[in-house]
Amino acid sequence: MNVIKKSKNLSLHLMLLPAMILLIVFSYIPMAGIVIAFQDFIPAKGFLGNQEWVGLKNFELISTNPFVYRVLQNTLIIAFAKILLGLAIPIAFAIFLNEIRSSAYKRTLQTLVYLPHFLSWVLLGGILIDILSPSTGIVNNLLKSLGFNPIFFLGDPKWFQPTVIITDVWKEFGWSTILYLAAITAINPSLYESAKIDGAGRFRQMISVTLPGMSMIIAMLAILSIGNILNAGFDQIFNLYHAGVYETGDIIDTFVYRMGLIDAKFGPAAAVGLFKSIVSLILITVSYYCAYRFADYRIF
Amino acid sequence: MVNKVRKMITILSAAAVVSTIAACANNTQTSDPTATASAMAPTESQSPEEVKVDPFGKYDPPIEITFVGSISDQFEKTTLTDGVTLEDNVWTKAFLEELGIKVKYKWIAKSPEEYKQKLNLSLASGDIPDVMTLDTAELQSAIKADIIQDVGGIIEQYGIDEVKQNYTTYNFDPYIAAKNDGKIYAVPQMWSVSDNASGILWIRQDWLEKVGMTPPKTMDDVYAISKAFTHNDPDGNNKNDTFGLAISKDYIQDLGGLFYGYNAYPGSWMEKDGQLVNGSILPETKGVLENLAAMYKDGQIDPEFYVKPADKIAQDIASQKHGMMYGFMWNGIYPLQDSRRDNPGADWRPYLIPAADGSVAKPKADSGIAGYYVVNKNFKHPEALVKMMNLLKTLGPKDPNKYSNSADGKELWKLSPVSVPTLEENLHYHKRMNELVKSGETPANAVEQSVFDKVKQWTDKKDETVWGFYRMLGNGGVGEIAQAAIEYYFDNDLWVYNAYRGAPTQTMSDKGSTLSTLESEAFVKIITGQKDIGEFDKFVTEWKKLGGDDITREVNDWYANAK
Repeated sequence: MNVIKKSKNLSLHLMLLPAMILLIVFSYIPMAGIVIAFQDFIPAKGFLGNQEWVGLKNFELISTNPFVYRVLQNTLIIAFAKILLGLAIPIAFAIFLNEIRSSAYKRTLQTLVYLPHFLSWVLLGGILIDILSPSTGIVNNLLKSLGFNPIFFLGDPKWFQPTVIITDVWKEFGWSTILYLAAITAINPSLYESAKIDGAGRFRQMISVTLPGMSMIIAMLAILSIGNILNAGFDQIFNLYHAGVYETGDIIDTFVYRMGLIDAKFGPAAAVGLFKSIVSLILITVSYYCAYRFADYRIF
Repeated sequence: MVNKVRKMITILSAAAVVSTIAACANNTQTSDPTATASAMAPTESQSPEEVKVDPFGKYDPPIEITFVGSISDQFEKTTLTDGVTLEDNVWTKAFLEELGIKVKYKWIAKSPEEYKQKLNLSLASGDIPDVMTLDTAELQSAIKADIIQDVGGIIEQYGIDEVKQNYTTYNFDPYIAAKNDGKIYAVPQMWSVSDNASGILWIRQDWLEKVGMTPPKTMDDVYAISKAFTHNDPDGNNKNDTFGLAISKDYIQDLGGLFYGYNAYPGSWMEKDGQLVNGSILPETKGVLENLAAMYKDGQIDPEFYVKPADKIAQDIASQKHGMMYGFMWNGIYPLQDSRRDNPGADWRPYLIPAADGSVAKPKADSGIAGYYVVNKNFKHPEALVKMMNLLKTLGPKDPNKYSNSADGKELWKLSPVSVPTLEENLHYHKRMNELVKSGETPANAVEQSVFDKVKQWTDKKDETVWGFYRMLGNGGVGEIAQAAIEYYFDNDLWVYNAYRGAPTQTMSDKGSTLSTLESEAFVKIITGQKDIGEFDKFVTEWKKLGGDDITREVNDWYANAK
């Protein structure tokens, strides 16, 4: 008995091996690169070469930058709003989609909403500049025909944050919806049957059966996404922002990118990366602990 | 970024038509190797027996030189066919047979990104080839890392005239960034200074006629035209849908010419009273911003310009919204050619940039240096690099079809790991076109013939596809051909160079991004009227405080040293 079990486990472990190797090679070994955050790194001298150690100078360089608080604030606001809406909207959408009877209609809708996920921000950036244009864009033409003043969504610092948040959620919510739909199909149909027998209507079923059935996947995705609190989406902002909206649109990643443009600055870039990783680690740990304490959720 | 890449592609495709190294065909000076060798004083020669040098001296037994390379899909498809590789081709055979030099590659990248990565890896691991090309910052870090050797004077010592003259064509010291402790650590790879200089004011002739005006002679004329193009319905569609001046979110780059008209050079270092100063903070720049703000307020500039990248503005140009733009000599090919697709009447003409005082502006030239050849510290024959250059300049023109560009589109010159461009090649062909048309003689070689045929295709047959090419370098004068304006700038010695040619200084790399953020934010707010012009003085104070003063000091220290 024992031998059989062991050999069964062995093959499972072997299957895990490639993933483990990838993880070690591409995630654990590169962690050694953290030392760059404390060096005045010159690539020509080599990673193991005689680099100059500068202590916390790279962190100081970033923290004393006059724009750092503005940049941090923008990052937090944009990322937090994206995380919140990026959780709520797909959950609601998945639940409602699940209630649709016609499967052809349901599938078409599902495909249509996740299509934007496959478009790159380079492409979407150009499209958004056109459709959000205050003079010729379709959105503002609609606003004008309803009697409102046109809004310069991408040019006005006040509107830039809401615009990037909403367009990002629009682009990605269809994709996350798929995960939640998968969770819904995993719910035991007998639960719905007993709910019906107990006299629950469709809405009641949604609240009392579907939603609790999804709670595990919701908790997991929430915990994972909280780690992204400092990732406000480089690709998107980079393709949409400009000097006119730096005050509300400049985020950590675009800021560091511009820093790197002047000179190949490995030190400060590594310092920012390390800072982001530490914040993510703390937030993920705390939220995982909370989920365990209050929702009895755990991965292991 | 994307726009820059796009522009580069355009330039390169323009240059490819003209071929890059075949062009010295008209350099009729014959090079007598022995005469060259004896004529020059051997400077900084390291061993006494090298006093008498032979620019084509063959190594026996042959030596091996390692390089690193980069190829594109396009190049692979057209040129690396029938067993031809970077290590086995007409050039490597010539190097081996004529000079006893065996060309080897440590690695070959398949894209510029991969090249950059592999180069960084090579530098990081110390496993560098014998000869490679670096940019200014990489050069500085290679000097600091002590992995490359002093190559001072090898061009002068071993180069034939055709190679040497590349280093004396322009009136700046090409070696300035390669100097350290009295030694010279690189051989610059020279590049035309006018190809990417904003020296042309493009204006639609048909719109000028429609509003009853003539080409501008002064800045006031430019403003008057801009006003008329905005308000006088130059496209005749009875709609208020045109703008005076086309600019994108990279307005500083787009508007180069407008700034130059006032001797303003934002972002560049200029000498003033013996000291280098940054053009961004000077009163000249303030004046231009004030004028731009007035134009913006009057609707002469697209109110959404600061959101639009250059390719969006190119689309607007194609849809007939703009009639005037500052730009480059190759803009006829892109984006202006696109505006003729829907409306062949869009008659863009290239003019000299007017200056505020009614004369011609002094445009800022490109750096003129594409990169730096450096030689591995442990490599024994640095002069082999120059010998290869000599052979390139001799064989290339002799048989362009075999060595430069074949008739069936093979880019043979790229098969050599080293290249020696013909400087201001586009200008050369423009001059030749004028000569050919005037004298009625036939083109001197195959490349010239193909350029001539293309130009004729426009002048004789009005073939729309070559309109942009013709406007770039065909036959004609200022106001017809962009290169005629470039010629004027050369003839009158009007080019202005960025006086700082060193690698980014310490404060530049620490604070440079802060300063440029400050600058672009202040400028865009001033132009769009969100802040009044008083903001400029605030910007200057902040700029100085946040590192600008330190950078100015560092740059001047460098300048004092380099002079």
